[in-house]
Amino acid sequence: MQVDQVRLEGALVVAPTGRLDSTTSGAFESLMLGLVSAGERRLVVDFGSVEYISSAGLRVMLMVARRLRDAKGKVAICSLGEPVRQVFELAGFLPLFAVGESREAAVRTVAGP
Amino acid sequence: MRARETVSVPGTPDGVDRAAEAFERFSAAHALPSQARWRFLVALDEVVSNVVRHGLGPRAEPIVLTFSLEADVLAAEVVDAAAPFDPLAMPPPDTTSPLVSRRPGGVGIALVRGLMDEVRYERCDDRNHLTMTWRLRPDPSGPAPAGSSDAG
Repeated sequence: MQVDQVRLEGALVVAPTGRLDSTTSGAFESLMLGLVSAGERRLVVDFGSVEYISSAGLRVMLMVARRLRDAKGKVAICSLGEPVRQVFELAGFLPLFAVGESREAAVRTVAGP
Repeated sequence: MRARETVSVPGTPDGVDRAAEAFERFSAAHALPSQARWRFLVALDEVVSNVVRHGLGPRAEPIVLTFSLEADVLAAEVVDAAAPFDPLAMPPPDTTSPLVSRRPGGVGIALVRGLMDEVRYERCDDRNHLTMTWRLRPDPSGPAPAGSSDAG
């Protein structure tokens, strides 16, 4: 799957494209954990181009959130389309993440002190 | 509107992707609304990957999927030859613990139950049968179909 990355105000915005399911989440996990291992501490996951997410994708997000917390970093999510939002809600995952109303808002959330 | 299609996918990780492709074809062939398409793609990902990961073991028998559309009811049935397993009998997942203690198990089947109108499990012919149904909703932004009434 294609994952765009852009640096904004000290945060790294990661924007996966397509579906985040059991077929694609392995590669996404490798990418995200690689970023954290490489020292990234301010991450935003922009879901604007993600069609839908399944529990496999949610597990990756949980792992990323925990790793960043352990590393005293921050992660925020933004641009959740309806399918992604509903799945996060059903799984009770929304309270686990800072949700930005926009990419810029999410960046501000993680880039702050 | 009535349609029914049965497809067999390998009981391997590759089969999960094939299941998605098969549903995409069915969805396109019957011009299913996006609301229906993503729900079933998520639910199929959960169910089929669960069967492959936990159920089938090295023999990896094929998984048989049947998609159907009858009037406005869309259904997907997943049949596998693994040992008896009723995913609906699993305890509900943890959806409230904070990040540090959240246990992710069981989320998949909770998604299936939340996204579908009805989910049924049956064991017969030495197979697990899981059937998910969802009634197509009228598009709120489109015109009402001819002949509709409030009593519907």
